[in-house]
Amino acid sequence: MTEQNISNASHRADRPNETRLEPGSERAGNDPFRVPDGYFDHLDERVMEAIDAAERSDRGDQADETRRPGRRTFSLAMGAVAALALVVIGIYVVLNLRADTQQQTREIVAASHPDDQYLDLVTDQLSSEEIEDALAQLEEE
Amino acid sequence: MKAENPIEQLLPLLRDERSQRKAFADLVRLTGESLYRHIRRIVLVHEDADDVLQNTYIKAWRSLSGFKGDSALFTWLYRIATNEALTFLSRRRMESVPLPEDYEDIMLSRLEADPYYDGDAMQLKLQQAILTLPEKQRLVFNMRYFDQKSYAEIAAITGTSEGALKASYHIAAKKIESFIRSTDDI
Repeated sequence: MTEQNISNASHRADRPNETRLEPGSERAGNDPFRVPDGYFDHLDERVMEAIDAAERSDRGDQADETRRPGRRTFSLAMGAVAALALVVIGIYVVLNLRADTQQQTREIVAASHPDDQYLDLVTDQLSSEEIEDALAQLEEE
Repeated sequence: MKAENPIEQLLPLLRDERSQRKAFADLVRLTGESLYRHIRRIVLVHEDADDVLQNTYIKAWRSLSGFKGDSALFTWLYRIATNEALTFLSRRRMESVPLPEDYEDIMLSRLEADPYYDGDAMQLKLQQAILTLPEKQRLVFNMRYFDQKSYAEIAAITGTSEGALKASYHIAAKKIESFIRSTDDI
């Protein structure tokens, strides 16, 4: 749009029925938006190169997608190993606690019944239930 | 006649994998300048228009198999270009400024600094006036005033009724005239 166009448009503003800012009043020769010299000459080549680059990038992403299940399997396997290790450690701790409890029970029994008969009970590696049963039987006798 | 339009004639070639690439390059040659001018009116700066134009063609290439021919090929491309340009602007608005509402000022400053903009004071004032419009009115005004598109064509591109477009253009033109008059008075 030239200065004259805008100026005319604003001077006509007081005549409401007249069309202002008419489409096409801006002529191509006055277009202030320029482009670098030769910009449109090789536009198709540049666009096709950009498309090729985008497709290569897409393929890269797809390859990443196909590699990802391998990575996921590895992560799952590592997770399973860690979980298994925790379970093993848990079992070890429980068994140790149980053994300690049995040992303490036997020691209590041995301390309260210092006879050979009862010391045998300690050395026989009986379970705490068996020891308690045995003690109950002894008390009855 | 659709068949006489060189752009529409490319359609069967674009659907054939053997000729697709060459036909697409031909499509770029035939439509590049018009699409560029349209995008440039929206984003204003050459560098941004160049990016958006490339993205438009990349998107068109990727969506080619989905083009059913419900609209003319050129209208379809124009629609992609419009969406890409608006998406570009809204992304820039959200990313690069402290206050999104200041973005129009930034656009104007960038336009003034653009080595590929030769507008005089009045042309810059017109751009400043256009930037005061809401996005949709700006779009309609550009397409009607600069690209001289018919309301039917703009309706096909924007998916808006012709009546609404006429109203938008009328309001936009009024606002621009009012802006120019008010700044002339200062």
